[in-house]
Amino acid sequence: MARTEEGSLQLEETVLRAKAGDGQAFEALMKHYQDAVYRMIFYRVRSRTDAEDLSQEVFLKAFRNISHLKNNQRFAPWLFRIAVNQVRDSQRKQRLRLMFRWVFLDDPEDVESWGELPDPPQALTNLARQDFWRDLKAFLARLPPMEKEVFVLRFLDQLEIKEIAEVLDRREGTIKTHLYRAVKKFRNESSLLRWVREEFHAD
Amino acid sequence: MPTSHSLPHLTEKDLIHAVSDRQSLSAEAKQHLAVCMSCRSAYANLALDLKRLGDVARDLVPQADPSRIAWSGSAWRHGTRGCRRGQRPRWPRLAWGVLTFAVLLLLLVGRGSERGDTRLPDATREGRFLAEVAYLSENPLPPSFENIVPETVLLDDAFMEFLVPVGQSEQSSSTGYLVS
Repeated sequence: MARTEEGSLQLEETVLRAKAGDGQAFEALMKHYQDAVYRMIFYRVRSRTDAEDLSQEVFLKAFRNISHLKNNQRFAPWLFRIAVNQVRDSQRKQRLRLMFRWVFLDDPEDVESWGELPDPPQALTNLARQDFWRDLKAFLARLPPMEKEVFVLRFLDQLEIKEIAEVLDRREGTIKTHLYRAVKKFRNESSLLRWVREEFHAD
Repeated sequence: MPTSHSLPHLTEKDLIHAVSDRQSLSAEAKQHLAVCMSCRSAYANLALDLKRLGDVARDLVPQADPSRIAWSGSAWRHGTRGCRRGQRPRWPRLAWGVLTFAVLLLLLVGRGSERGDTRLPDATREGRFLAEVAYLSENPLPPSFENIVPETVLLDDAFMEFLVPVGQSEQSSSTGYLVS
């Protein structure tokens, strides 16, 4: 994400053109934010195909509603907000389907199946990757929803406090409070902490 | 005025605030952090852990298929999602829908026919009930008592005379009521 002044000016211009109905401008925005949105969704659904589908949905929603965007400079938080809401909607539907057992076998593509991907991350072994995701998942599962969301937005999606406040439509003070609690718990999360340290301090 | 060295070390709360949002630290804490090795090291370790967490997570995200997150301008403009390569077919959902409908229909039909069937047993049950009432009117005692008490109690004439003397019986029959 470009955070320089020049970059943000260019982006603002692109947003303006996209709002005016310029398809190429919207395509440029899509290309610019595609990876960030996809990663953001992937952290929450942990399935490649679902993350791809949901990313497409997010951009479609953004395209349809871009005329409602008030502040062109805040396109990114606006887009991320759509993404977070899209994931929530999807998880709600998933829970409903689970309740009625209408889950398709190809729906949950958990981390265990990543070994079959054509381009697996080479940095770590499959086992280590699975351990990492399992520990992270377990840690996040122990956090209340708001703390979890704030923690993921801050340290995995790497958004600033102000951006998180915009994405979640909460005051910055509230975000800081939740973040403080989450980080405090993270400090005591020995398994995840040790895993991160051992894997990376060694090299 | 106290020097940065003489300022108290950062608390856990300060450290966590520092890694979450450096701006939220007070000027004094920032000043202390700049000169205190111990606090700086604690801050750096925690910040590094959190940064690494983000880095590892980012490294472990599988590559997306760009064709699945693609701009399909004309389709989007016309309010459709467009046809994406590798998109999941819709027929399994349709099949599930049809199957669910069929199961619901079967359940409803099953219940209806079950209700229809219950009419015959109802009639049978009523017949059985009446037969049981008739039996009980003739045999009011439970079967275990039937051996103790004779089937019919025969009242001999002397006992009847004791109960209702003949004169009274006649009188009552002529007047139509008993005279005590």
